[in-house]
Order: sequence, then structure tokens, then C-alpha cells
Amino acid sequence: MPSPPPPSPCPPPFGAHAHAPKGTVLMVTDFFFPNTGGVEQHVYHLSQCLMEAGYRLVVLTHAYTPSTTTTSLKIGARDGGAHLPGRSNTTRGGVRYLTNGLKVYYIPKRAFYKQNVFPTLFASFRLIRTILVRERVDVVHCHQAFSVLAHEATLCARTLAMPVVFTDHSLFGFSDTSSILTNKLLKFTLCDASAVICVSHTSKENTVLRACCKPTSVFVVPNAVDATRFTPPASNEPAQEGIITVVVVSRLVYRKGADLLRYVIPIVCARHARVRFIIAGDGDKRPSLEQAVRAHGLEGRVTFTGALEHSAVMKVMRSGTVFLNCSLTEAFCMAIVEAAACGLVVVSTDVGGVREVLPPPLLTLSASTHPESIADALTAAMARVHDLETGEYVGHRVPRLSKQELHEFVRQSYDWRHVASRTEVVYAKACRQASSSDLLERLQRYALCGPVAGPIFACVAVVAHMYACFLEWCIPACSIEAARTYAPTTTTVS
Amino acid sequence: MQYILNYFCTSSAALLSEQWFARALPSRATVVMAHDNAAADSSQQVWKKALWKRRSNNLHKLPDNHTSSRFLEDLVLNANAVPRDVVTVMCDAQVVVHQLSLTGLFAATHAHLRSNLVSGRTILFISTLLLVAATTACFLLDPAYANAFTVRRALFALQQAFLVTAGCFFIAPVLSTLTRNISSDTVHAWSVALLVAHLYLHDYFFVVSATNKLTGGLSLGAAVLASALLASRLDSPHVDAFAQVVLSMEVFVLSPYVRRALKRGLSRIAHTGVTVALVLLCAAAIAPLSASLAGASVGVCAFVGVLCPLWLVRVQKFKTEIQGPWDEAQLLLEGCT
Repeated sequence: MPSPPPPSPCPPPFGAHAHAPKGTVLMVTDFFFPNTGGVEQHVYHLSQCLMEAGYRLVVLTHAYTPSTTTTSLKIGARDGGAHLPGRSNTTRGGVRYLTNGLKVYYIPKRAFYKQNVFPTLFASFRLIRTILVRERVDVVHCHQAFSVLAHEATLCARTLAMPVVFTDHSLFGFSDTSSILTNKLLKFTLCDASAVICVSHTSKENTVLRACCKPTSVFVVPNAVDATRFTPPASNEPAQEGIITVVVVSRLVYRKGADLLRYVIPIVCARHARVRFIIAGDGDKRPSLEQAVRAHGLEGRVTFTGALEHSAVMKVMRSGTVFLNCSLTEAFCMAIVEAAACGLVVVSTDVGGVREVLPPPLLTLSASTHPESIADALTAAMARVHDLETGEYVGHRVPRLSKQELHEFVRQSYDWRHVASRTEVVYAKACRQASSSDLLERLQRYALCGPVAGPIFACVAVVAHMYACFLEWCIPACSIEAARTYAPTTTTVS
Repeated sequence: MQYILNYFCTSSAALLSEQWFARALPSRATVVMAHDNAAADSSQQVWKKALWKRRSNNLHKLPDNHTSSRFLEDLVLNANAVPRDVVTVMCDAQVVVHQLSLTGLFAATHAHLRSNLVSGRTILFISTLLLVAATTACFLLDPAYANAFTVRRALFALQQAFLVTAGCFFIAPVLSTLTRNISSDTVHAWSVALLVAHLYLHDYFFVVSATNKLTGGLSLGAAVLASALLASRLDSPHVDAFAQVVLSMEVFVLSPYVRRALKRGLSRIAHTGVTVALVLLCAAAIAPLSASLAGASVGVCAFVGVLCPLWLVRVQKFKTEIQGPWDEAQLLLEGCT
């Protein structure tokens, strides 16, 4: 008779991996490569820089199939981009390793609405728990308030007594039904999260009001840009003499101000004969925009490039000298920072966190969201770098900055490495004073969320706790083998 | 956290039922907290919402979770909130009281018809009187009726009235066999449900007609169906069923317009008098059936007409409409072509 196998050794204490001197972080979001957007970039770049700083990084997202990948690999593609051809590299499933050994779990959940998995409280619970245990995760970092997966992972991680950091990337209203429900859900998640990160001060105010959390537990850590991918042209000479080119890079949808743009373009073209527009991006408002351009006979002066590959965006930005953003709402506008990194003068509507992003001389804000007022701001910005009569490029006059200096300013202000080091501080705080994971204390916190919602939240937490106990009984954490860690090949991160 | 806790302890004890309106309370608590917190950095006037300043270069080396005194300074509360006046709210609530008592009156009439306390002929006689009185009242009180009067319109109205009455008259014998195979309990339960649906869906503040909105139409349909169901339980002479349906037409189809004319033409006190009279009439009609039910009807009317308006005005202080720089900007397109 063979002797029974020895009991499997229990996992080493958290953070004891040879290749992760600072511990393991699990990033959770519904929005990740091959999808593109602000959150996706944030997660990817932050992960890379944290790995560089000595963390081990694992990303958890849902599987992507061609039919569910809405934006493909293009910037500014229209939502639900069924018009884009299905490409093999838009399909992602299983476990993949990205640059520098960034491990990504594409869990087999179908995207249900706008890249979100179907909201069930416990359907992913077992899988997330297994990944949390298998990867010996120390900190769970969830992204985006309307990512269903992020909320489910928060519940799971808190039930397993892990510190959770939650980053909120967008602004939300208070009055309509969907906002009220989303805000309740956010309250449920954030009241138990160890720390919250917002991308701008306006976003922090919004989140504090929506989720009713303590302002001091909310950190402001902005986004950054990959400055190597957005560089100004080598010479200060624009491609075409005597032509002022205004660049617009955004999805052409209502929230990004496409309806404003269709009135702004004719006004500006009528005022200044030497102005040309390049509009990169796609969306449901593109037909009406094109129709407005045709109606004013401006086909020769306005170019539509459609949705662009990420690499082509810089080329478009470099070809202009003024960047225009007409958004109606922005938590942190990444496009204007990218444009400034390319040495462009930026004009924007004064919404959300936009005015926090760049100092006044580099950013011209419109007085209101009226097309005339945006046209005024655009005129003022063009006068900074061009002779409006001849269209000649004269360089930044106020302040006296070259494109290269502008790029340098953005590179120093918005560095992913710096974002990572600031995030590290939040992780340290989350681990140190992680709000107690004792079930009773958690229930007390939930109970404070409201007379109706509080008891419901508490019930959900209790069920999650019982489910976790059941899972521990049928799949003990000791029996889940630890994932092997590969020594990261040290490729310098840009 | 202590603030939120205190706020909730006091508020939930005193205003447990008003919590629906107090949804935004904790946010007010956080605002207070933020300002307490901010007392510490009053000397640091330099702080502003600027993300481009690298913290390491910052003179004060403020932590990322720093909450300055300017936190939430752009928050605007209740910018568009209109304060409510208790007298106005009570006057407006009388419309609901009217509908409630008329529905009660209608149900009581059915009970009396069944128990032969009143005959169908009496009801028909009263209905005719009411119709004449109501038409006169409309013309006297609301100048809109007098202004719009033409012989042609009057003839059209008479034609419509004749068609509806004749329809009801010929359909009455059919009604008596409509629900023969269904138990009385089922029919009564359905009728009550339909009348409740009628009260819930009714368009109390209609502009053009009470059935202009979808819910208004559904409400009228529910009431007419309820009256048909009830009429089908009156098996003896067909005139009872006929009287019942005619009365329901007057109560549910015509009375909203008459009551609108009353509201426009009468002073507030006179209008309140009409309301009180209607409530008492309803109670008097119910009293022979059950004294406690009559008391309950008066109670319900008092609750809707007096307590609910007071309650609504009281909870106005919990209204917290939040506006700030995070709101989605509105498109301003005046003068754009």
C-alpha cells in the first residue's frame, strides 16, 4: 500500500516571491487591450511602470471575441464598431503574457453591454478567488466605476480580506435613474475599498459626492502620456506654408461635442481664410458633421481621416499647430495632453477636469459651450502661434516656448513612472491601514450606506462570506498551487 | 465617518419614513467634514486644482489625498429648486380627493343598487339632474365654455350624448350575462383592482383632455371596465345596469372637466367647501353599508388632502440637488444655423 501523499504545504506568506520584492498587484477591469481607450492605456502603462519598480503585475479582464471588441485597435472608432473588419488580433482568451511578462487573464465571460460582462454578483466569484489565491495577490487594484468585473472583484477580494484600491476614471451625474443606481453600486464598492484613486480633483469631488466616502481616503493621481510616442516634429517649420491646421482627435459622438464641432467649423472657416481642419475619429455624428461641411462648401478645407491606428494619431497631430477639443464632459482629457506633447496649442471647452490638466498659457479655454465662444477661443489660440493674416507660423509668442520645450514640459509633468510611484504610496497606505476585514465591521460600514440599500448590501456581503467559506471547504486555498513566476526580462519601459 | 454616523442616527430615528427624500444626506455630511478638515491648511493659499505640478517639486509636499479648503467650493445645491407653499399644495391635492370620493360614491351606488336600497330609475333621475347642473356650472364658472359655444358644437355634443346613452341602453341586457360563469368574488376583486389602477393612472392635471396621455387613457379604460364588470352583477331589471353605466360615464368621463371648471371658477374657500361636501356625501353613501368603512373613507380623504401636502412641504428641506463642474455641459446653440 502506498502511503498517503503528504499534505500539500500551505502557500508562503504574501509577497514572498523572489521576483516580486514588493508584492503582487492584480489589476481588474473590463477594459483592456485589445480594446483601446483611456482606461486601457492607464492600466497598461501603470502596470509596466509598477513592474519596473519591483512589483509583480497580473491583469484580470474578460475574453474578447471579434464580435464583442467594439473599438478594435483604432482611436476614435465608433461605439459598437461592427463596421470594422474582424481581425485575428482582436480575439483574446485564456492567459497571455504581454511586454515584460505582464500576465493577463482573459476570463471566459461574454461581454454583455459596452464591453461589460453580465452583472451577476457571484458568477465570477469562484474564478476570481482562484486567481487571487493562485497568484498570491497582495493588492487588488480595480479600475472604472462602470466596470462590472471591477465591482465583482472588489467584493471577492474584500471577502477574502485583501486590500482593494479602486480607481475611478470618469464623471457621473446624480439625477437620472441610471446614475442613481450606478452611484448606489459605487457606494457599496467604495465604502469597503481600502483606498480610492481619482484622475483629477474634479473627479475626486464627483466621486466623494457620489459614493459618500471620506475625502481623505480619496487620492488624486492623474493620468500620464507616453512621451516617446508623442513627440513634436524635428523642425519648427510646418509642412505647408501659410496654412493654419486645426486638429481634432476624438470619437464623433454627442458627449465629445461633435454637435458643437459642426457649428464651430463653418464659423472659423468664415473668419479665417487660411484655416484647415483635420478630423480624426469616427462615431454616430460623423454623417451629420460631413453633411454640415458639404452644406457650407468646405470639403476642400476639412479632412476626415476616420478612425485611426494608435500609431497614426501622432502623425496627424504633428501635421497641425492647434488642437481642438469640444467635449461636453471629461474627467481628465488625455487627448489634450498628447497634443501638447506634440507641441500643439490646445483649445478646449471648460468642462470637468480639463482646466486642471494644463496651465493657462498652454491651454485656451472657451468661455462657454456656445460655438461662437469656441471659435473666439480658437482665434485667440491661433494668434499665439500664427500670423493670422499670412498664416505664417511664428512660434509660441506668449509664453515664448518652442514645440520642443512644450514637449519637455508635458514629459516632466505627466510621467507614468511618477504616476506609478504615487500609486505605490496608495498601495502602501491601503496595506497598512486596510479598513478592517472583519465581517462585523464590514457589515457596520454597509449598514451606513442607507436605510434601504444598507441592509441589502450587508446581505450580499454575508452571502459572499458564506460562499467563500463553502469554496474554502471544497477547494481549500492550500490545494491551489501557486502560479510560477517568470523572471522578467529587463526591457526598458518607455 | 463620525459625522455620517451621527447624521444618520439622528435622522433615521426621527425621519425613518422620510429617508426616501434624504438620499443625498451623507453628501451634506461629507461637505461639512471637508470644511472641518480644511481648517488646517488655511495658510496654504497656493493650493489650486492643478495636476501638472509635480508633487515632488511642490513646496509643501502635500500628499495626494490632501483635501484643501477649496474642496467642493464649486458645489451648488438646489439651484433650480422651487420652494413649495403648503396652501397651494393642499388646493392642488383636492383634485385627488375629488377623484377618490367620486370613486367611493360610485362603488357605494353599486352596492345600494344590488341591495335594492335605491332603484335604477332614481339613479337615472339623479344622473340627469347632475348632468344639467354640471353643464350649467361649467358655463357659469369657466368662460372658456361660453366663448367656445356654437349651435353646431352643441348639436354635436347632444348627438354624442345620445349615441353613448343609446349604446349603454342596448348593451345593458348583454351585460347581465357577461360574467354569469364567474364568481362574484373574482368580479369584485377585479373591480377593486381596476378602480385602484384608475386612481393611480388618472391624469389629475390634464391640459387638453384627460386621455391625452397614455396613462390617462388607460385609467379611463380601467374605470369603464370596472363599471361594466360591476353592472354585470346586477341581474334584476336591466334598467339598474343601464343606470350604473350611465353614472360611471358621468363620473369618470365627464366629471374631470366639470371639476376643472369648478377649480378655475370658484374661490379657494368655495372650492374647499365643494371638496368637503363631496367627501361627506361619499361617507354618507357608504354609511348604510358600514359605519367604519365610511369613517375610513373620510380618513383616507383627510390623509390625501391634508396630511400628504403637509408631509411633502416638510420633506422639502431634505431636497439636495447637486450641481458642480463635473456636470455634463449643455449645448448652447442659440442663433446657430
